[in-house]
Amino acid sequence: MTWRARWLCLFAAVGLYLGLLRGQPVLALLSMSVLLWIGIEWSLFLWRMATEFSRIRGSRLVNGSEETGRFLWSGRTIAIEARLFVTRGSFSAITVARDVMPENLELLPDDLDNKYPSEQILAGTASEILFRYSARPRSAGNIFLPGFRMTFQDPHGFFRTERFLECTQSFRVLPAFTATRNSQTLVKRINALPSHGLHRLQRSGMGSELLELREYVPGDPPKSIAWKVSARRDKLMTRQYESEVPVRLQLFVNGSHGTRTGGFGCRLLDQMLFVAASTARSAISNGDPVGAILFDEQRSWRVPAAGGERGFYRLLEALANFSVNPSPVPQRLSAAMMTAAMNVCHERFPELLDVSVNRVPFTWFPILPWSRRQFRNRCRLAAALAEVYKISTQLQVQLMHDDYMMAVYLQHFLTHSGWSWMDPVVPKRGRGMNDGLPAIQQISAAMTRAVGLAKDNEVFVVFADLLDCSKAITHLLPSVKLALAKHHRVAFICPSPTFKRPTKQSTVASSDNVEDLLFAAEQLNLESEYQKLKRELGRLGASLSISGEEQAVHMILSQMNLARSGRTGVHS
Amino acid sequence: MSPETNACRLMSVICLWLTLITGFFLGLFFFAGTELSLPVQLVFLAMVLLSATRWTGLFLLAAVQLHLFFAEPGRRSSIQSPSELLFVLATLALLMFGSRFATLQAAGRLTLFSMVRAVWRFLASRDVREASPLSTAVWKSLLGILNNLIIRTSLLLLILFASFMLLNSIEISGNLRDWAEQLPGGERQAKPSPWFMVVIAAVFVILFELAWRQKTTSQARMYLRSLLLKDLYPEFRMILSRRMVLRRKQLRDARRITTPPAHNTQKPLP
Repeated sequence: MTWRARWLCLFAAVGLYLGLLRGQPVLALLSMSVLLWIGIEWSLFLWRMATEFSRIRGSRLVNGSEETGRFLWSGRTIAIEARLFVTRGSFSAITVARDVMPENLELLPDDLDNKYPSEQILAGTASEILFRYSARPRSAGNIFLPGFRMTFQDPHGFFRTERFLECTQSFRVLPAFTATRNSQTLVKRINALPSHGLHRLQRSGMGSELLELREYVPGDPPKSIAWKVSARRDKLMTRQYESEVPVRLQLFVNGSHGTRTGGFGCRLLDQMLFVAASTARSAISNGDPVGAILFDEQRSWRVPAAGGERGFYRLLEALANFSVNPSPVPQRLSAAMMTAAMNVCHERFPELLDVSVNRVPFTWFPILPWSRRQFRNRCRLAAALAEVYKISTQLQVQLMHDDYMMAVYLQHFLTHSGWSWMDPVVPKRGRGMNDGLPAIQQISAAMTRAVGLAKDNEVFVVFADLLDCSKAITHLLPSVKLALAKHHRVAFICPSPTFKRPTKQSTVASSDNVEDLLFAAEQLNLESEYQKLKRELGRLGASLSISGEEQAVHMILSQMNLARSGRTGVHS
Repeated sequence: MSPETNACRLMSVICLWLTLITGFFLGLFFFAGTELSLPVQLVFLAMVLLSATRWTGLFLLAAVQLHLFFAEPGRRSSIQSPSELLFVLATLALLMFGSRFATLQAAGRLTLFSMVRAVWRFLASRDVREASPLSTAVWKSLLGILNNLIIRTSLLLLILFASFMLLNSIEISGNLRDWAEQLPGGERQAKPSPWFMVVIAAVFVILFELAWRQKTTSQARMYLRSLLLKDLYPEFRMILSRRMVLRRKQLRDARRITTPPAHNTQKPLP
């Protein structure tokens, strides 16, 4: 019963009492009619709920298919068609149905009028509720569509109940990539083209292109003796052929906490995955196998180098898995976290917050009304979490009183409900608050391990937020030197927090607006850090670029071209 | 835009107009033959107009009840003239249309501008005789809603009739003093009361039973859990507080072991 009905009942009851006592028939008639009206509406509403909700079924077509577990692409529009129907009878007024969307899915407005395309209101009677809308995954990872939140009301707003109709579908979202122009030259520079994926390397080997002629050494194959030249020089000369090797691209993606913080699509990790996927696409198009090492504070995965479409999709799937946020580091319980969890609970489990079933035990403390209200909310939330996670009553009481445990459960609950790592799930953290030593150590360890596993002529591309941990860069230099000494090429790609490369124009504020000034200051800071790092790494022979634009992909491809040609040189 | 949403907007506009028209008629009833000042009449009309943005049905009911409380003479007889019945019907209709409009507006998050635009589009499409599937669907949805509205209005008439019959079955006392005088021999007044009580109690029991049977399995589980918690909460609380104290103590001890005492750090190295 809503407050509207409660107040009406109170006024009507008082009016009826006074009307009967004072012998005022019109007052009594009016008041009694109101009471009778509300009573009849209540019985009709209860009858409707008893007969209607159990018969409601829901289905959802995503890109024309009802299957779950399929792949979607980040940044590409998907068409969703949701249908709610009753097996017998029809929907009555007023029904509001909403397809609950995770944060990783951006709703696209269908026209200028409709701000809530995933919501449908039924004011009359109908046999089905059908709504179509478009959405776009914001970033790679997972998308879980839990079902429909339904609000049933009587036509006059006296009674309202909220229910959740489960219709689960989950999807794996692959990272977006851009197809860059093929960097392989079309001019034939060599006599014999090696097969797809093999490249000339100006070292001696068993390729088809002549590298040099040298004196015969016992043990050389007799068929490689150049007889004409031997006759001219009067000594045995042998042909030395070039080596033909595949150029392997090894991607290192650092998914530490700093790169996962932020809204979906705005995380540093999303930038890095975009550049990594684009690079992998170009490399695989050129026939070069691509592998990856994905690591964060707790885990590390190695995706073996592979080529072809199958290898590309395997890599994308690994990147998508890596993009899913794990449970964050526990933090202190805050009021904002409680409010967020309560909102999610209202959205996903409205029936569990019903006061008629979710009863709070009586306590004398806290006494103050505001604190008492907060405590009651916490108790209700603890009971809902206990039901969702099927925990014991004792643990439920612990949730009611132990802040640490409540914070852990709430973080888990919010993360699994599709919330990104933003306040209140993880605390706000300013840039440059740490020296970044752990992150640098992780990168260094991963590179050293990769050098041990690597074969000849590989290109190491490290995607890491080096700009945030530039103070500890000296700890990374030994592993870079090791990789370079093993004849690998090393390139670093740093994500930009502004999603823009610093340029001369961007480092000057376009206006006195606070946002422009802040943006220019951030770009200036980025530029200075970038130049410092570039100098430091360039001294060793490694390259550095900032992601966010196509230049990063081109830089990696140029490094691969250098690796193919066997030349040395630093190009950023 | 779906036909249902469009129909909802059109229905909101219709309800708004019905509210204003009913409010106007009620005003005619309300102020006919009275000497209420113009500002009071204006306040009443403003309250009716306020329904366009906020639900003011409660205040309207309170205003009508107050007016009746002070203006209606106490009498032994029941409703005498049809105008009194019409007055009650107009008040109920005003409440119904007003609440319906407010509910539609809140459910659809509608603004006045969007409603007017929906009407304009609908009328424009009718003017040019566009037999588009969308306008046909809107028209169909709208007919469904209007049908529902007619049924509810008929229900209101039935409710009024039932209330009238119920009140006629009760002997209404003239005023408080008469009623008090009649109390010793007031069997006629007291006679129907037990029956009413029994009927009302039975209706409430049925409705509560119906409401309880609609609970889901998880709700039933949660209810049982909350009952258990209600009984055992003090014990659980006591165990938990002991554990928390113990844990804090362990943490404190662990910290004391891992961090060297302050006086040791100050000691010079040999």
